[in-house]
Formats: sequence, structure tokens, C-alpha cells
Amino acid sequence: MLLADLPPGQLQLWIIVAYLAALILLGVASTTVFKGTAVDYFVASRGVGPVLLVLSVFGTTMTAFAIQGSSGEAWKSGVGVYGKMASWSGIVHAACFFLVGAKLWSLGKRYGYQTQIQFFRDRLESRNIGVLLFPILALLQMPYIILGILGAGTMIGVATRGAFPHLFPMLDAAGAPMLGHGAVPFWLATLVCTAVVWLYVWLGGARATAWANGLQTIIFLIVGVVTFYFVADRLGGFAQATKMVQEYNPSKLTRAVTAEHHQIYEQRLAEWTAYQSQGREGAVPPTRAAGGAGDALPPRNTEPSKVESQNVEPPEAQGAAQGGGSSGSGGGPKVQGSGEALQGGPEVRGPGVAGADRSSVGILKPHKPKEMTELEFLSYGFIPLSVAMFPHLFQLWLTARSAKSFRLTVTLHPLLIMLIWAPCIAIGIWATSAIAGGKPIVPFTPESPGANANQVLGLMVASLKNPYVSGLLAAGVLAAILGGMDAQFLSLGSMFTHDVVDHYVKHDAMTDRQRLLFGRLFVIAVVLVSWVLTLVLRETRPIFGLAIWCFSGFSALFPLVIGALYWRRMTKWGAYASVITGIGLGVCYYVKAGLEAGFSAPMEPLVPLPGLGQTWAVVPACPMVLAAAAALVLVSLLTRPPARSTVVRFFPAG
Amino acid sequence: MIRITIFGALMLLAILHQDFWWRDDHRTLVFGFLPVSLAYHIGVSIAACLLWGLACRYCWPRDLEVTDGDAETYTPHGGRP
Repeated sequence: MLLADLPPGQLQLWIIVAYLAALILLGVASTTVFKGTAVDYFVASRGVGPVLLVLSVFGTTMTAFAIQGSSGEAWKSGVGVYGKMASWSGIVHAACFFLVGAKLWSLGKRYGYQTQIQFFRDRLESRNIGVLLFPILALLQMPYIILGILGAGTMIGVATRGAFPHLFPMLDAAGAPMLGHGAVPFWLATLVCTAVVWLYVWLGGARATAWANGLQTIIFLIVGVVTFYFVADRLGGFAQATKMVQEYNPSKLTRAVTAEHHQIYEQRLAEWTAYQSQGREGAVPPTRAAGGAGDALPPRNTEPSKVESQNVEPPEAQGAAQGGGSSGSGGGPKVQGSGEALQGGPEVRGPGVAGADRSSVGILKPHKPKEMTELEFLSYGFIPLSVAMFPHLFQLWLTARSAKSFRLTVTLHPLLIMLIWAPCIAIGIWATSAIAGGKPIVPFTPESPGANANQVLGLMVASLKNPYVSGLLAAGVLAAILGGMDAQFLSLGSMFTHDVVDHYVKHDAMTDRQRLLFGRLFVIAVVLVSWVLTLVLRETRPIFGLAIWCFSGFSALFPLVIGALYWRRMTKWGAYASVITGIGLGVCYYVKAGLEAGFSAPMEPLVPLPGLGQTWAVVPACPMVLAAAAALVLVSLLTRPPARSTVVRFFPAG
Repeated sequence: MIRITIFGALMLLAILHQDFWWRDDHRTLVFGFLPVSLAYHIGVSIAACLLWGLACRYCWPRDLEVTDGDAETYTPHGGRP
């Protein structure tokens, strides 16, 4: 049987299976060089070279958001997303690796640290700083792990729809197939994914994690470029795809909203309204379909005529990675030849409307122009500071062979970010105005109730009708998800072992063998708890809103680490004040936003910051970092300086 | 001098990141398809790569390397008596 003859979803499944098998093989291969010690398990005997370090650090830093979320966010907010997230990250991440990563590696190797808390305990002369830091770090990390598992399970479910209709039937009361019919069920997909990650982390620890992250980085770099090329080709070429955006949603190409943008919006909206009222065939009114999560997309096995008449509307949010790799073939909106709806003479004239295709007029509902203020754009620079305090990144930093290994990471990180983000952002922008087969490829707008931006990339890829690209995208999104998850499992296992059991139960006297054993056991515990929590929280959804705030929480800890490394006058009480102020402010913002919008609803990512006689909207990380830094400086200056022995230990040059 | 120049250039890059001058330009396309603001920020990413490369070459801290002989096994530091 040819691969192309496989039932829908099976080719995608086999691509995913091949990828997971490759991860297990890497885990097995890593055992051949495993030394059987705790240091080897947790930090790969500090022997990872520059190339593997750059790939593993990048793979760990980039979540599924880099591939899937970035397209959705660009579709929603326009071209400014690249600047506020990707190019800021390129500058700031590299700065964190240069100023924090290499320095922590040096101190970690010199004094044998394996967790952040061990370092802070010594530097701050505080045996119990872990009592404050450990729950904060663990609680900030858990939502990411759960979201990752959630995303992986949902993504596999979407990608494998129709693969096993007899094994995993999903029928409604009337016996008709529902969305998800024949797909690998959520519990099984998540169980397999977490089990695979656990297996290679169990086998090879930090070394297997670094190897797996290297592979994952290569995969999702390839996915970004391949998807970009095929999508552009589908839309009639790069220039044509962008031209459609200029004509229908020009505000997506800018951060400002001009009078001209409003004028074009009104004009396009009037055309769309007229088109709807004429009831032309194929119109896709942006009303919301009823039903729960995931039930609004047309089922694969639905008859074409039925599919055509359905409102292809956004389902409820289905998790961070939902929609990735969705239906390469099957029951999506019908798609015809490449770029067919994009040609023809001009029909509409108006400001900025260069020549829309006659057949496309009225088909697309324009997006309402939305401005991105300059302060919002600027304040996003605070978010990437979070990488300085990610426990899983700290763990990977410690695996470096030498300080010089960081040079390649510092240098190439901005370029790698660009390679993965720029194509995904372009696809997201094109998606706002993409028509295929006389219909919008994304048949809803950000203003549609329940619109799920995470579906955008999946829908664009689905329009290609190419199961190979769909399968590749599924593997790419999965790679991005699992790439962070493995290091998070390992770092939480390490923190439980070193910062809780060893410090409080064994009084820092554990043997190497005990550390290794406890480390592995805790990794199992973290995996199991995460998996069960994912199944429990899957339907409740408070986790979605919470995850957005986790980056801000890690950012609020940035003053703590930068002060500890570069300011000898920083004191224990300054550190406590900084953490309590920064995190406390974040909790206040979160509770306030949750009470206003509902904790399970998508929360506004901006908070008001009063100043200069008016109120500014900025990301929460901005006031949190500033307040934490102010508290650190103020309280440190008011309290007794650290002991001379501590200063000499951490600042030997002076 | 070279350290000041490189770190100054990085600071300048962070300032130039705020490209308010392309803020409302939806017409200008680079290579016929890239919105000018996106093209500019791709340039910012490439410039960041080059400048951080220079920083690693010329401004890398000298006291970071730790040999295996200098490495200790972890024992909590006593700090203040």
C-alpha cells in the first residue's frame, strides 16, 4: 500500500510515531555514555559542547507558541508581534545568556551547584530562601508542563482524525461520526507522549534531554521553512499573498491604525455584509457554532454538501497547541487550485485598495483594525527577561562544557529565533486575507465569539491538502512542546531531590547513588502528577489564563538573579523583599484580571500603569520587574551587608 | 574602547528597536512581499546576532572558565557566622 493510500490521519500518525521512536532511540543511545552518577544524570557531567548547547537551549526556550501561537497572534494583532516578541527576545535572551547564563555556569561548576536554590542559599546566606523560592518556581512551571501535555494530546487528536474509525469511534446519538471520529483519544495520546519523554529522561537524564532538544530544534526549524514555502505557493506566491493583506486588512501590516485603515475596513465590511445578504453560495457568515470544544469544525466524513453549508466556526479554545497539523485531507472547506481566487481585474476602488479580485469581493470579512501602542510594544521587552530564571534553562546551562560554549548560543540565538518566527508571522498575516476555492481559509475573525487563534496555522496547512506537510507540522509542534517538557521534568525532579529531600531531610548529606535514585523517582512522580492534572484540568480551563502570567512571574525574579550576580551589596532581606514584591504584585494583577474577566477566560495581557498624569497599558512584567528591583535596592541598602566571606566567594576580583 | 563601542551599539540597537517611523506604513514592501516593519525587525535580529557575536569575541569576561581541578563538590556555604 502506498503511503498516499492510507486512511486520513494515518500518515500523520506514522510521522508522529517515527518522531517519538527517534526520541526513544536517542534516550537509549545516551545510556551508552551514561556514567551512572547524579552529576551525569542532572547536568551531563558538564560536558555538552557549543553546537549541542545552542540547539538544546533554543529548543527548550521555544515553546509551541513559537510555531503555532506566533501565527495565531500575528493573525490577531498584525506584524507588530514579530517586533514585540521575536526581535525583543533575540536581543534580551542573548543578553541573559551572556550576563547570567555563563556566570551561573561558572559559579555552578566552581561550587558544585545543581539547582538555582543552592546558589541563592549560599549567595544570600539564607538556608531557607528555598522555602520561598521553591513553591514559586514549581508553581510557575507546572502550568507550562500541563499546557504542553494538553497541547500534545489535542494536537495528536486533531492530526489523526479518521485514522482508526473502528478502533476509536466517536459517534453522536444518531450514529453519525463526530469530529474526532477515529482519532487517537486524548488520554492515550497524552499517556504515550509523557511516557516517551519520561523514558528518555529516565534513561539518559540531562544528556538525553540535550540530544532530544537538538533534534527537536532541527525539526521545527525545517517545519517553519517548509510550511512557509508551501503556504506561499498555495496563495499564489509571496507577493500575491501580501497584496491581499494590503487590500483587505492593511492594518495587519502596521502597528498604527490610520484613517485610511478605518476607511478600508468600513468599505470591506459593507461589501461583506452585502455579500451575506445576497446569500451567495459559499458565504461563510461569522456566527458561532454551538457545541463544546472542538465540535465546530466539519467532520472529516461529513458529506461535501453538508460541509459546504456549515459554519466553519472557531471551536472553544482547545489548548495551546490545538489545531496544529489539522486535517491534511478530509472534510475541511473545499479547496481548489492554487491561487485561483486571487486573480482577475480590479473591482473595488478606494484608498489603499489596489485591485481586489472581482470574485473575492465580499467573501472575506475584514478584521477590525486594532492599534498596538508604542508603550505596549516597548514594554514587551520585559517579558524575555524571564529566561534568566527558568529552572529548566538553568539546568541546561549547567550542562555546558566550558564558559566559552556559551558564545555560540549567545551569537546564534537571535538568528534562530528569526528563522522560526519570521515565516510563522508571515503566514499568520497572510491568513487574515487568504482565500482559496472562493472561500476564506480562516473562516472567522478575531472578533468572532470564541475565536481560537491557535487554529490559524492548522487551517492554513489544511488548505494545502498535503498530508505530508500536515504530518510534518504535527511533528514540529510536538517537537516544540516536548522540547520544553523534558527539561522541565528533569529540573523539577532535581529541585525536589536537592532542595527538599537532600537539604531538609538529609541535611545536604545524600550520597551520589541516593541523589540519582531520588532524582529518577521524582521525575516519575512529576510526570504522573502532570499527566493526571492534565486529565483533570482539561475541561475546567483555568489553566489557560494562568499560563499567560507565568512568564511575567519569572521576569519578576530577574532583579533577584542579576542583583545576586553583580551587586555585592545585595542582602538576604533585599532578596526576600524583591521576590515578595514582584510576585505579590503579579498575583494582585492576576486576581484582579480574573475577577473582571473570569479566571477561565482569556485575560487581557495588559495592565494599567499610572504615570505622568495618565494611565498607560503595559505588560504585567513591566511594573513587576520595576517594583521588584526597587524593593531589592531599597531593602538591601537598609539592611546589614553580606559577610565578607560571602563577598569574597562570589566577587573574588574585588 | 572596543567594549564601550560594542555595548553602546547594543544599547543603540535596543533603542532602534522602537521603529515608530514605520508605524503606519502598510504600502512599502521589501523584496516585493515583506512588510517594511517586519523586514526591519528581521534586520534587527540579524544585527543582534552580529553584535552579540562581536561582544562574545571582544567583551567576553576573562574570569569565567573553571577547570576541573578548581571545581568543588557542593557543600553549603556558611556565610555569616
